[in-house]
Amino acid sequence: MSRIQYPSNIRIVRVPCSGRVNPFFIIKSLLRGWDGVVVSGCHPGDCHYVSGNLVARRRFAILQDLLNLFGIEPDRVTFMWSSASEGDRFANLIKKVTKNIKRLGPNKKFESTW
Amino acid sequence: MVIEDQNKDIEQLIRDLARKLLKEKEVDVILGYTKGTIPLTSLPIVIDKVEDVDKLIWNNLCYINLAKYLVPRIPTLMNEEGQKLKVGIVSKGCIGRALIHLSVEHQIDLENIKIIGIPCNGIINRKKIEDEIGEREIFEISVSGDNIIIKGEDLEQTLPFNEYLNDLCKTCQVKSPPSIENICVGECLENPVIEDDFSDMTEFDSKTPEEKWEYIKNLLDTCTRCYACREVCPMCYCNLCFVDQNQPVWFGKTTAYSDIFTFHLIRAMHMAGRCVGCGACSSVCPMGIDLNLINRSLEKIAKERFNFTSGIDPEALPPMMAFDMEDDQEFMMEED
Amino acid sequence: MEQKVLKKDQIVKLYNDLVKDYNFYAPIKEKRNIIFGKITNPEDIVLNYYNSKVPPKEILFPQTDILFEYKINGKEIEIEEPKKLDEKNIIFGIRPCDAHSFILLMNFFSQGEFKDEIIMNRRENTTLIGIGCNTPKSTCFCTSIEGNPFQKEDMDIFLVDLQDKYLVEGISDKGKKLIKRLSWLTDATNADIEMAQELGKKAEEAIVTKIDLKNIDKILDPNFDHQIWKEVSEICIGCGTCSFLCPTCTCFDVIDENVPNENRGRRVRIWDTCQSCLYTLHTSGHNPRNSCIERVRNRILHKFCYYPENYGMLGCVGCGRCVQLCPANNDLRAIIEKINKIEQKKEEKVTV
Repeated sequence: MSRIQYPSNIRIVRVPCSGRVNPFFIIKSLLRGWDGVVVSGCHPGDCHYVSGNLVARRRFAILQDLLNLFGIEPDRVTFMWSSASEGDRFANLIKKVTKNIKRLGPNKKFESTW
Repeated sequence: MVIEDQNKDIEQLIRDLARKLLKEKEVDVILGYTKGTIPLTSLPIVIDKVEDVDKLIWNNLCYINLAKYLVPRIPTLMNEEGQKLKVGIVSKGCIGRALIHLSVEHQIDLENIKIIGIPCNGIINRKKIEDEIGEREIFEISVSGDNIIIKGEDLEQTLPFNEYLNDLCKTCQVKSPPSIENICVGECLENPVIEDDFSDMTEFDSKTPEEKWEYIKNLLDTCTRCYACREVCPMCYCNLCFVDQNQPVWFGKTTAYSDIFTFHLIRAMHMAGRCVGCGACSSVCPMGIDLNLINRSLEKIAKERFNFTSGIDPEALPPMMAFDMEDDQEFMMEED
Repeated sequence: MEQKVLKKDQIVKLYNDLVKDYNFYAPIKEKRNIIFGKITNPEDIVLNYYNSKVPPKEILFPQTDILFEYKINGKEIEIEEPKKLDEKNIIFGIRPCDAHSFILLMNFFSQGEFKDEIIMNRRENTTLIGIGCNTPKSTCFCTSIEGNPFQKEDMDIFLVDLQDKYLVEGISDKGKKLIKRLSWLTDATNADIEMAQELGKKAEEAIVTKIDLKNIDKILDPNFDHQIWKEVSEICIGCGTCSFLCPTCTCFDVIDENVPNENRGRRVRIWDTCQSCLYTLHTSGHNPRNSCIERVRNRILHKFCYYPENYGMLGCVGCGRCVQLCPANNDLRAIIEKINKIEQKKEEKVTV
């Protein structure tokens, strides 16, 4: 939007709602060697499906705590809200995520994984 | 009161109540514990005759969570016409919590159940004892005063009872099942209040991610994926567990650490706000993996994030069955 | 003289002698469990043990066994066969029951229409150096299965623990050849041999668990629908401990794993268990063994009815692992006892 630039090293996977994001998706990406995962959803209250993002938020809260417990760096997995009209915000947040993950370096924990 | 006297009292309580319930035909069967065939175990038993009541026992090795046998997937407690039997179930605190939580999740009907409440005095950690004894065979284990006495071939050892309890029992605040009207008999807790500062978790929480990774990896990597932890857990009642799903295959079934990691992480995810802290999973693991740390932090997450403790209030919805506009979202990324 | 003596402090020498040509497996303590591991430091070997938690079948038939790996390069498919099949293995310190289990494993893997080349190869290259059990556990019942704690027929070399030394006896040609190679072993005296026999007798007497398995297959066969199965499976929780840690269980599952974006993959064999809900699940969704009742029955029938039918011997070695490790304490010995009672009850009825 408005030709705003953001880092090119992310790949977008479209889902209907942040409520569709199964924790499997996130863990599977890490297992496959992706260096980080971002989940971006609509702001609370703006959900097209009324409450999908509120349900998702609780799920993410627990997932974040558990990843932390199992020793995955908290910055590997990021959750954020950004609506369709917030191109600036999205770009800024992705820049921040990229910076965080670059600081962490490559994800080598699951190197031997198939 | 010393532990062996407590055990005797509890045993008497169980037998008296079981006899009464069976005689008055309030229940069809009693689910309880009897003496195991080898030391360090107890054997779950289903009793339907008054004469057999004296088989019921209580000791500090009754580690199986009997609520598991009421979960629908296991069809043993039915009569010949396929109707559910009315069950009286010997309940320590965590069994009571499991029953209440299962009823919140509409898995069991509490109307069909009589909870025989007993004041549990802690479950001994079998793995710690085996570690202590090493490669020597144990013939007999008993409790005397504040000590556990272990007898075997050329072996007589006294261990302090409190140190050899399950770690979850050390912090347990629900020794007897929470009371529900008309369902509970025996000793139950009225309106239990849980105040826990999770001080036992501080040490682990202060570790760096790298240290935590190494610690958990070291803890889990002997897992053989026999799923004893899942099968013994009263909260694991899915018809098809996520690890068994093969359309599509989400993650591997090998014993590579990444697969073990995923199994335990996702299982923990499913247990959040639901684990009742009975410690059965750690007690039954054939490889001796102690899942207490994970269970304890699940309890902590549920308590600190959602102020919820599972299996206390039959009316309250667990956190993952509900949502709230005002939930904390401090973990969400914001612009600088 | 056939029999030799190995002093306990010579085990390091034995290891150093053999490790050049063999992968040396022996019991070690890993975390809280005794398992058979590949030895890198002979100091790690633990020999005053009852039995390992994970049976040594793991060496022939690993829980995760890569059958082959593949790589797709344009139109070419490169297949990589498993390596290390020709490596020679020594399993040191194996117990007689586990050595017997290798016979049962090989019945399954090397007979009939389909033979398993990988496992046959491994077995061919494996030498068993076993140790008799001086002090069997109370849950051991090998004498009920025509074995005994000093049974040496299934091994290549048999050792007897004589406190400060081992009596060494070559059993098979493979074992005798290996002993010849270890020329530094000293000859055994008659006193040593007598002491070993004495210990053997003592050990056999020390086995207290006796279960009657003489007619078990004949009792089991007609009682497929007996109500006893409901009774004995009542407390089973349906985990796979008994079969995963059984030295004779051979069921496996074959899965394909791939990394789509890198065009590579592999085929893996993993342990499976008849206690799992997926084991008999049909594509249609129907499951002939839908509950614990059928699954427990299958386990017992397989070991004590089908296996004798197919191979002429019982499918159990009496190591007692399932008795020791069952989470719900669903004791195999008690189950067998109940099964034996079926027939007695029938006879009583007939006499009335």
